[in-house]
Amino acid sequence: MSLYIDIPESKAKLPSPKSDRGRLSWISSVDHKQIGIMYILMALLFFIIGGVEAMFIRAQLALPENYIISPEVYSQIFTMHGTTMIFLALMPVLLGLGVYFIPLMIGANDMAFPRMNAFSFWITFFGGLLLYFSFFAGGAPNAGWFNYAPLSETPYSPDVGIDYYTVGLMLTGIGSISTAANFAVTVLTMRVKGMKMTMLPLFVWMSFINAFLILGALPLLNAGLAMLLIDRQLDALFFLPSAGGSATLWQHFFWSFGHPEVYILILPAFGIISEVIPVYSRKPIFGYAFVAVSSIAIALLSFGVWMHHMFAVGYTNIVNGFFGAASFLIAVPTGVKVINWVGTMYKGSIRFTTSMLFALMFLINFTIGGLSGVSFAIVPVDWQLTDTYYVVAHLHYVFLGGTVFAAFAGIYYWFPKMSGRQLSEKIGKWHLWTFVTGFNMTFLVQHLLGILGMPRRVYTYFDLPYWTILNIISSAGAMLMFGGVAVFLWNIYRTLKKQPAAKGDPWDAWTLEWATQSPPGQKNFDKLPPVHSRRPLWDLKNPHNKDKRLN
Amino acid sequence: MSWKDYFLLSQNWSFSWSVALLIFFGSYLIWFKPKGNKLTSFTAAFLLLFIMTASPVANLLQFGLHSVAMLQHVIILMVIPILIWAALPSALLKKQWLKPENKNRFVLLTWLTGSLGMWAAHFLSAAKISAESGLSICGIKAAPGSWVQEIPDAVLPVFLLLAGIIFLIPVYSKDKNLRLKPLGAVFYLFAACVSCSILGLWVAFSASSAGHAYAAPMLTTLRSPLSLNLQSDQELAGMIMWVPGCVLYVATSVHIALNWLQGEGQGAEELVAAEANSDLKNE
Amino acid sequence: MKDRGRLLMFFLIGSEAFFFIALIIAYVYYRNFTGATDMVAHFLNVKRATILTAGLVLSSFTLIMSKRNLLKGRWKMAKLYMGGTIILAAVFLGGQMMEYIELYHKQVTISKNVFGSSFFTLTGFHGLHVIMGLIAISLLFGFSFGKFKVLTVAGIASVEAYWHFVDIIWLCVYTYVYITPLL
Repeated sequence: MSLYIDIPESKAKLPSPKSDRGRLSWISSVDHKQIGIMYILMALLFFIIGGVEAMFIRAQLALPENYIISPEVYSQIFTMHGTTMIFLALMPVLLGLGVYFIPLMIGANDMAFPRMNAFSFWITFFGGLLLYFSFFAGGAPNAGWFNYAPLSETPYSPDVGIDYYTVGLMLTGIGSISTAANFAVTVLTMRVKGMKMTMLPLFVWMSFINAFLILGALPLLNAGLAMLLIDRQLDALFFLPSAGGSATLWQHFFWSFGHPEVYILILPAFGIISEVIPVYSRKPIFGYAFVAVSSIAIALLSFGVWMHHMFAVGYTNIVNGFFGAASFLIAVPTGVKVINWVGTMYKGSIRFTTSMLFALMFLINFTIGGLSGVSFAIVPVDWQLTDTYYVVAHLHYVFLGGTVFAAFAGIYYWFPKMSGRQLSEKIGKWHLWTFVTGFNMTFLVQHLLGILGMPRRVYTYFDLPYWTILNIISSAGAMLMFGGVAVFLWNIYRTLKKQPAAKGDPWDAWTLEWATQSPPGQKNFDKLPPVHSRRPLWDLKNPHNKDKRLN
Repeated sequence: MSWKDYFLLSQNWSFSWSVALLIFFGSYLIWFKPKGNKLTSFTAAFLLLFIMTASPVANLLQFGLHSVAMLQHVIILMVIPILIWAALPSALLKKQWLKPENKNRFVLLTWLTGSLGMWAAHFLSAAKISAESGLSICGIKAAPGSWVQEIPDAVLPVFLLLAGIIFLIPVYSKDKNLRLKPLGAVFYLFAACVSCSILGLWVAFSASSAGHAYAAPMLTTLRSPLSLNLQSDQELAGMIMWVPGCVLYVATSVHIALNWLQGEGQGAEELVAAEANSDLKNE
Repeated sequence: MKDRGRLLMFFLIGSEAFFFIALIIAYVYYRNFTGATDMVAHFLNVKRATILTAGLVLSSFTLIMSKRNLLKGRWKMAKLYMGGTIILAAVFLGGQMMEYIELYHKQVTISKNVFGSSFFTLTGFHGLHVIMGLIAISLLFGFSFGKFKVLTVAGIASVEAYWHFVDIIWLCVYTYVYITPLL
């Protein structure tokens, strides 16, 4: 009897892509690359579904006093649009890129817990399916993506939609938590020899920090959801003010999760941008330490500013003032990052590929979104603009102009690695410009709509001055964006039909994922270059001009 | 009473604290003969300590202002120890003072000292204010003349200062047996941040709940040079603990992590040289 | 690395801690910040809860002893202590069940008022975690008899960490829910 047993996987031969990548392996696989791709496909699927829902919303709002869909369906659709995009499209694509690239970038052959990795994916996916099953079970959730109590309670929402919302989000939450724990353990224990924590590629670094955000924030949502479910199913009274409960408590739970969630969605995007910009600028990142540390600052601060979502609840000026100040503070580390990216491009020899252009569009649009966000930290401005289309414009600038642009940049950058084929640059640029133009048409005018006083979530509106024309522009932009996504899908379809032809390292990049063939075999690496700096492949390619040695 | 009158009134300045602090400051100067940054940071610590204990600001406590108590706690437990650690000569930091058998346990102990110290100080001072003013502070009500009143005023600040200094041992000590790795230190501070957030939350929210705060006699706040009612005072107290307290720890974490990431690779050249030497020998 | 599982367990425990903090905050919110009096507190059986708490704390110690004996290779003692832990955990669950039944007879239920809601949610989720811990320890216990006859150090170390966590959470719950109303 021994106290240690060998973990069976380590000796068993890893399944090989050549011998057993049948269709069934997509269900049974524990390979991080397959799971990562499945995450991304899932995100794409829900991105399209959420996009179609957005088209319904824009069609309904295109003209005043329009009645294309019924008010009941409209409520369900905007709720599902928000929930889908945040939990089932953006989070999975970022987690998926993490699952695919973290092991490759740190020179590992898989995640620390491959089976748990598969579990995380499937439970997230089934959580999403469960959420969508509500359409067939008697109505989707219809209380908005933040599902404020007491509207979400049985007396006001007797349909089963909210129950599906709670259970579905709890499942995806559990999936995200286990992925996050997996990330953290993988980064801490699976790095290739020589790669210290201070030498991590920035995407890995941000995903690592992000893992802790997920570990801290998602349980708060889960606790709130559990209470809401108990309220609805067992007649408890947590969030029912009429029976001694507290509706603001739900808001506290939701936003103490919700604000970190905003950063959960943006930190890995920052990571992607920090990988893409240096490679296409042919310069190492400017101020690695500042980029890395500012994400620590963001992560820690994000837990202490959630009350700025609740300025309109009616807390006193003292409370609001402190949280306003804290919210200003959190803009500082983000600003530091933007300066670093600009500094990286300064005097670089920039290649304007689709991926780089998406990164540039990210910089511009995310900065706009960040600035409109800062305006909410000013309490009176927040009182004026809260729950108007200004908020809608702001959050889309951050989520679409931030996270989605970064995800596109990442997909164009890494597509050769994942598939062995390069996406067409020409079609890619069509995708880019239609999408970016459509995006700015849709949402830039919504700032104005918000300032003019159009409340968010209204089913329809009267023909007030400027409202109609601005809404028409917005809806036309949405059409254009939808077309952009169609171009993107066409690009992927066309490319995947071709034979794999990309080189192992088409962009002449520096991190370890490019040190193996494209796509990587089931076993990622047979041998690795020595790691002595933050850019191991640079050292390999430029033996006479190596980076400063760090270990 | 106007602000000016209040500040100029000599009885609002504490003579005994001033003398004690001057002795403290003087002995530091004589003992370590500090220069430059160390001197600046110790002077800052000294001045803050002076404001928090001997000046009329500290004297505001007698009006039952909980926010002042909280400000005192935050500054003495969190800010001043950082400055003091920065002011200590590195020879002293490198010396092996302690040799804990189990580092994890030691770190847990220092963490508990810091964060429980904060909670204990909060409850004690709340009870004390309550006993002196007859008001219920954060849901704590002590009868006048209860034992908490017997605790001398000087005990709390000294206790807080010591707890704060002990709390920071794993973060700032240069002894490898005591020091946490940078990421560990960030976690350590984050955990403290959670603890002080919860305390801040507690204090701030017990304000809005206390319907009786409106009804309570305003006697204590009437004479106060600060026009704060009980509820605002409570909220201010909670917020001081919650937001600046956390921001301070975040700033410290950022400082540590930045030093760590920027200072990386300083020993590497020597390492390369050593490796080259060993390669030569092998050949 | 052999303690990868333990590291994972620490992260999950950290995450669970946030979950319980949220549940406890709900209870604190209703009792301290709404001005209502806790209408469940005086129906609780504090004496029994104290005994159960002592039992749960003891079970943490028996698990430590079990691990120590295992490391020294004294298998019989290790199994004995582990069995003790299982019994203590089962006793705790039984006691909690009795508490629930009694409260039910006194017509204190989850839908009675917010304190009923928070009491049953908080202690219920804690009980769920005790059940999960009980299953994990029972599995280890079963393995120690079974065909494998191996107990990994990583396995018992992670279960131990989890069990201490459940124990600490209970101490917080016990202090707040049972003791502070008496003060």
